[in-house]
Amino acid sequence: MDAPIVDPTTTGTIERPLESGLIEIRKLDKVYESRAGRQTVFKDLSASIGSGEFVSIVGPSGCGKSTFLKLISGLESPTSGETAFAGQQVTGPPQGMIYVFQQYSKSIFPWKTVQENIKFGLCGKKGVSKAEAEEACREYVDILGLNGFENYYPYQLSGGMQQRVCIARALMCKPAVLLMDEPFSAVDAMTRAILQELLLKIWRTLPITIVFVTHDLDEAVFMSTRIISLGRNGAGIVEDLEIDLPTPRDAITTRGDPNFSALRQTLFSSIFAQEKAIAPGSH
Amino acid sequence: MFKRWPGFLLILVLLALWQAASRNQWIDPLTMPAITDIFRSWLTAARDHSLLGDLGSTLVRIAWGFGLSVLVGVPVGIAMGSIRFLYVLLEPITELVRPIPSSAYIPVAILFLGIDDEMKVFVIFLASFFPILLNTYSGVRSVDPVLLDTGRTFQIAWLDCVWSIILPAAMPHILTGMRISLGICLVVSVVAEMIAGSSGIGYFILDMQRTFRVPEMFAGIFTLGLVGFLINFAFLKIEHRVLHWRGSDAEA
Repeated sequence: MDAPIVDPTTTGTIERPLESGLIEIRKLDKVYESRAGRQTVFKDLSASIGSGEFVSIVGPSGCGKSTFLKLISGLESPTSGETAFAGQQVTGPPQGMIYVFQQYSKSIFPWKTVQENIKFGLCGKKGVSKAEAEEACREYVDILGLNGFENYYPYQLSGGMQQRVCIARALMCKPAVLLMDEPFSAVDAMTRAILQELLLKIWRTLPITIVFVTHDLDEAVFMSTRIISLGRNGAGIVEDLEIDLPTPRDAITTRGDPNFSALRQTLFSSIFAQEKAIAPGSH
Repeated sequence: MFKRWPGFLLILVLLALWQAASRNQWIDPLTMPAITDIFRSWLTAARDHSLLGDLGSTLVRIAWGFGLSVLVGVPVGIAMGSIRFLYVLLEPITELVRPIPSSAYIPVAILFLGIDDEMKVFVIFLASFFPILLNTYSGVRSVDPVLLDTGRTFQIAWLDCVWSIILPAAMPHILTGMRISLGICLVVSVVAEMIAGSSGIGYFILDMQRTFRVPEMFAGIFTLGLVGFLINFAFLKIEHRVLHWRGSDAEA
């Protein structure tokens, strides 16, 4: 079930044998019908994501990045085709996979304190004693830098803090996969940099696979081991790049690596061309 | 509360004006007695327990009618808000019955339930049910889809989702509906007591009017106003307590 070991010396597209990944996307079709007509988001899309990867999903606006994530997560269903997680077909949100939303202020529970929010995922789960939940909650409060804020209510927290709570809440369930939909796009640049480092640290220390949607190419190249670039209107996967920058990634030195700019350029020109293709007055 | 002193001052000024108008015969003092006379008769009625006894029976009826409407209205509202089929099923009949003024179904209620407390509690229940139902339903429908999806991604069972996500999220709407209903309960109880009553503050006011005890009548009306104000005030405090997680800027 494990994906083949990634050879850090290779660059460019990698052929991955299907049937081997933790997350499998098989011949996915997604079509939206509306009064304005049919809109094809994906047509016959297939991909495979292996255990332990940090995959970023990028692409021009409207290419279906969030839809892709929602289909993997089971929060939405495909028109045809299927997604699979750990060998099982996904028909609804499966255990072992947690989705972290872009709108953290709408996802966090305003009537619960920070620690009540974090403990939410374990509530009612059999076999978890109160003491264990307390212990785990304290651990994640510590990892996410929420010390001192345990009894605060969301209205008293900044955006960055609220997103940390949402991440801690997800991690409490010890998921195998974290699906993150532009989680840092609604915070300021400095908070974003800090949260990026934090997320990478979590990914390095916990056995977790992360699928990360972002429109920020810097962020994608900095964080990921692999980037999938989606195209519009059923164009499918336009790029599938292995990011072989040295690890552990560092906010300062990684961005200075010459490969960083090269990779970023490749993605930028591809996405920019797609954006221009339907921009008014571009023909 | 105390920052609103201009409003209270206005009330005092109007009362003083009333007193002057009555004492100086600008208005017939038989139909509008002086405030001091009203106050004196209020004290007498309070002391010999007639007013308080009637007030008590009104409050008991309201408690029953309101309590029942919450017990039925909130779950039905939640069900209608979360299950599309139930909404489609119940919405037309709700919209047909709701606009009928409560006083209009008192005659029907008398036919079926007589003129005693059962009839009054039923009418109060019916009138108070709809604001609670509608506000609960509206609150459930307005729960942010991101909150619901959050519940789904944590694989929360539907019933757990209703109890731990939908109910708290819709609570501001539900409490507003309950507060509106409380006001309606008071109105409907008084009307029912006036039409077919032998006790209660509505009956008291009508009885005083019929026996030309005008100061007592006004005392009853003022008591009604005061009780309504206090009930609303107390409920607002409860609301504030339950919804403390909204923070102070939600008070605007």
